[in-house]
Amino acid sequence: MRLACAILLAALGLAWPAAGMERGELLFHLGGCQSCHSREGAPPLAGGAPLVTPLGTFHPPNITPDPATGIGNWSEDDFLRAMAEGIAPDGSPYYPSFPFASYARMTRDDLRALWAYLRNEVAPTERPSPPHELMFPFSVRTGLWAWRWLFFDPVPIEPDPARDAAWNEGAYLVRGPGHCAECHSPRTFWGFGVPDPGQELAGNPGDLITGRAPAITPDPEHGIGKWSPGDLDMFLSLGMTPEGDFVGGEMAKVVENATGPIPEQTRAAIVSFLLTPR
Amino acid sequence: MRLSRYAVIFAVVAGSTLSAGSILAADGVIAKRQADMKAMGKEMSGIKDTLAAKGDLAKVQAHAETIRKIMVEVPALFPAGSDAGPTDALPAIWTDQAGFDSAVKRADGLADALATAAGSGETAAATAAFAALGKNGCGGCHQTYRKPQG
Repeated sequence: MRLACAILLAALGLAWPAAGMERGELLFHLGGCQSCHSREGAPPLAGGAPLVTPLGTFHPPNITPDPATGIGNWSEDDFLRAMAEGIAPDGSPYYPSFPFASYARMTRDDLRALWAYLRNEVAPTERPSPPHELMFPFSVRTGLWAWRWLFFDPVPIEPDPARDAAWNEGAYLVRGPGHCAECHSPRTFWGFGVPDPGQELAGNPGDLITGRAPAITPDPEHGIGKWSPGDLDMFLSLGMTPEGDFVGGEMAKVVENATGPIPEQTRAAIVSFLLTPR
Repeated sequence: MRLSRYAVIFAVVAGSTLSAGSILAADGVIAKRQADMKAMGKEMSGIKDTLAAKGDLAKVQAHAETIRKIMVEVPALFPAGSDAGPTDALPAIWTDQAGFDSAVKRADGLADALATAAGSGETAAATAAFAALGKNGCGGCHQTYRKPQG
């Protein structure tokens, strides 16, 4: 059955560019940049659809290399600081709606590869980004320094020598660029905090800020431990659950932009990490 | 005087019976459409298994035709008022009825395309048509008209 699934997925692979993907492009897909920073009917990455939350509306900005309205004037160091520290080039802190707490765990080399991809492979589009429209007191960015002091403590992802290379690659991609925990872990402080590292991927029942997301731990009862590797590969490629249901919502965007277009062996690494009991 | 009080009581009782009835009816139609969606999911699983096993494409065609038979009933399973109750259906179904109907039509068209591709005997074409039906037909509709699951 596993082999059969592999054959089916290889056939499906005809539809997607897969093999021999550069690191920057892989991270670009898996980071899911497009899910938030692109909107339907507009050029890619020129700014996303409004993100409506109970705190107000965020407007994901233009991240094309346009010098006036995008990130064309940024230096590599500006980009590294934005991703690894959550600080804009002008020194102001980002809201954690931008999942920099996960991106901060990526290696410097990977961030540089992603920067090169964004600079060289994305067409510049001139489109100004509207400011966020948040309610008081969340509208005051100064408060974010307190948030950072309380919650922002990025831990680099160390390889586990007891596991094989595929598992470690999968763990890195899930925890860093893939930022899966941002939705699939319960968040501390009723959603105001960070994904709870003690309950990694144990599902979010819905809090004051973020919506529900199912548990994706290897637990057979509460998580996806009953799924075969083929089931999970199928899900990450096409969005189809073992019951034949097809996801909608945010996860459909993740499949479309992130887990669908990546090479088969990268998906296999993610599957290996997610399904191996920890 | 007394008569008008009776009339008020009658109206209240009749009204609550009627609304209870319509809630029951809504629950019935919700259960029916959920069962139909699960049935279509089962057909999709069957198609996946057949394609993965490089099995008989006639089976795939039969599954696709079953899906179309169920799909044709879908718009009628979301009558006005059936947004209340144990449902994950989003209000967009009723606020954007034309959009919903065209999403169902698109899914039906993609199921038809899958039946045709399977009928041609080309596994690669059937596989591509299956992926398109799942992503754009099923998933496309869930994206806009169903609450995220979790």
